[in-house]
Amino acid sequence: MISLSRRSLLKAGAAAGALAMPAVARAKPDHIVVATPGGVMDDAFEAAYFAPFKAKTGISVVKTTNQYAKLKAMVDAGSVEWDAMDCSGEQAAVFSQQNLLEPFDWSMIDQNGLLPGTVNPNFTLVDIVAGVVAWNTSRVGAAAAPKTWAEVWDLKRFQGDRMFWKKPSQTFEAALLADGVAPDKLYPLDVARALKSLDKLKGHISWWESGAQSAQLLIDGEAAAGYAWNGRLAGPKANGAPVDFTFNQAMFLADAIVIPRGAKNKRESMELIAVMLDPENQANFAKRVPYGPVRSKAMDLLEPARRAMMPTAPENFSRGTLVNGEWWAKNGVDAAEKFNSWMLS
Amino acid sequence: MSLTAGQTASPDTLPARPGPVRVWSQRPVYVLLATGPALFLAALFLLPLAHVVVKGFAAPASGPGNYTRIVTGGPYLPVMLGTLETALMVTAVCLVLAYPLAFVGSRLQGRLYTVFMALILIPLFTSVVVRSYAWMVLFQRSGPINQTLVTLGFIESPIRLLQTPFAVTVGMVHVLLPMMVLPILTSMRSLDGTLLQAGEIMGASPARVFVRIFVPMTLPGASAGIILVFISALGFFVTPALLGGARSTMIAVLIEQQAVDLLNWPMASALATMLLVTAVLIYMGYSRLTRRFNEMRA
Repeated sequence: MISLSRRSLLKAGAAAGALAMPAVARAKPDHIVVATPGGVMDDAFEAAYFAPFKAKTGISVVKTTNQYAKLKAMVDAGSVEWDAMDCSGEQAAVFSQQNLLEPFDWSMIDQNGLLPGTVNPNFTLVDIVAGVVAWNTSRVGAAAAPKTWAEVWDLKRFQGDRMFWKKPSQTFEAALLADGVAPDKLYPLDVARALKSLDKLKGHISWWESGAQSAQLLIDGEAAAGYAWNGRLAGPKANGAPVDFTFNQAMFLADAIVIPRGAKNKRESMELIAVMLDPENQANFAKRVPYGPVRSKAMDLLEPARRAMMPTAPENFSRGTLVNGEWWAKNGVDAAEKFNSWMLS
Repeated sequence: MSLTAGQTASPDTLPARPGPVRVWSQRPVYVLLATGPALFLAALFLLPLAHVVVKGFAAPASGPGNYTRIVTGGPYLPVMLGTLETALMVTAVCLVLAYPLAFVGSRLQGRLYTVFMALILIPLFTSVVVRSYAWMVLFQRSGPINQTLVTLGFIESPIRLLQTPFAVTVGMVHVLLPMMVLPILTSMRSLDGTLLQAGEIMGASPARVFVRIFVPMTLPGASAGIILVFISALGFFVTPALLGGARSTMIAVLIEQQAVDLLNWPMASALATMLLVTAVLIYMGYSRLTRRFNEMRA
């Protein structure tokens, strides 16, 4: 009720034009704390989202490392320092399932032209990453270059290790696609079948633990082909490293924004999210990091060459599957157990 | 412990005085000194630790459900055994490398000794992640080790070195070696050289002096090193994660997965408790063994 009247008050203020922000019931914070992944992502967040947010609201964003377990610890302890956090879409589903998040006030955000799956009761997707079929061009000739997971699985097609993330998530999906499961029939995942499919590569896999490591394995030729996130390869590829990839049979993952339950400045976090979903800011983010906007209008603001690199460009997005975070949130523990046992076998 | 040590040490070093002395008693001072750290440890270490242990029994249903799951299947026990095996291997390699290294160090004086200590200590200040990446570069197929082996004709084409137990062992030994060298070095340098001379004067051969005097006298250092390295190795995470392959999963990796990825804290707590209990049991067994050994010698 209070927030409603406050919003109508704000609207009245905006309508009046030059009126200064009216004094509202609660003092506006001069900063909010957002947990981010660091590195290149932080720079892009800062330039594309946090700076415009500061210009618009006068509130600065203080960044801190997004340790997933810390969010749970803070919510459990009832002492939440963060106002928002960037995490993977799968992780957002896990938080959501464990009731660790504030519900979103979607009435504050224009939902037109958002990618399906973006709007969730207590999180939003902000950009889309593609997990792709990738290969080392000096180890795999142009003719043998894999275009599907089945071709990655084909050990006669080209020699050398195949690389995957040392986690069941995305690895199982790739294994099932390789085994001939139709993309729209992936979920619920057939874990036994995925492991059987992985059996065929036993002894030929290099596992990566971090995105940086995946790029290293592929560029150095330690692995000939395999799975990597497009953002890790786009830079090296443009700089002439012997790597290439295709969006064909890609797995789409998301960066999500969540608000921890009990966050002190929820309203300001929602305002930040509105700024993050603004088409122009989405486009500015996509110019810095090759992760696709979730707002279709943002796509129109990109140069054709840049647009073609975006996982969410329609011609790319139609060739892959969105990873189902909900399935993983429900089945992650069992899947991890089976995956770890398989690793030891 | 420090209390009893203080009490037993004083009669040896101080001349006996007639009657009880009340001018200055050490006991209240020790109690006072110990109170701060004890409170600190209790509040910030023991309490959270107890919380972890309890949590392992608290959910999803109260009871030993998580432990039943650990012992009745899944990857948990095999990973725990693999972790013990890796830790044992790393400890053995560290001991074999550190003993002669410390011996050389113990003979050095002046500037050479300073350089030696710097060489041992500097790696301690380098991030484990950075060192693991360095090993990745060295071990990869196009890396210098494979290239050299191919050039020298030992192998026809590059072999897999990365993501093997070998890579994990080398990486972990590299990190943990100083923890073995330092205690052994200390025991060697504090060794009373006249004992060795005495042995020689009595007609023992250098080999005999080494085996019968030098080794037993430096055993406490080696013993401390063994337990330091072994217990640290049990909890290793980064090195096996980056250098290890499918079968090099260590228990810390599983704990991290449960705690961070899956937010399954009860299971993470149960696994952490299992690791802690294993480490404590091993430590107790080990200290009993060394005590027995010392008694036998005495």
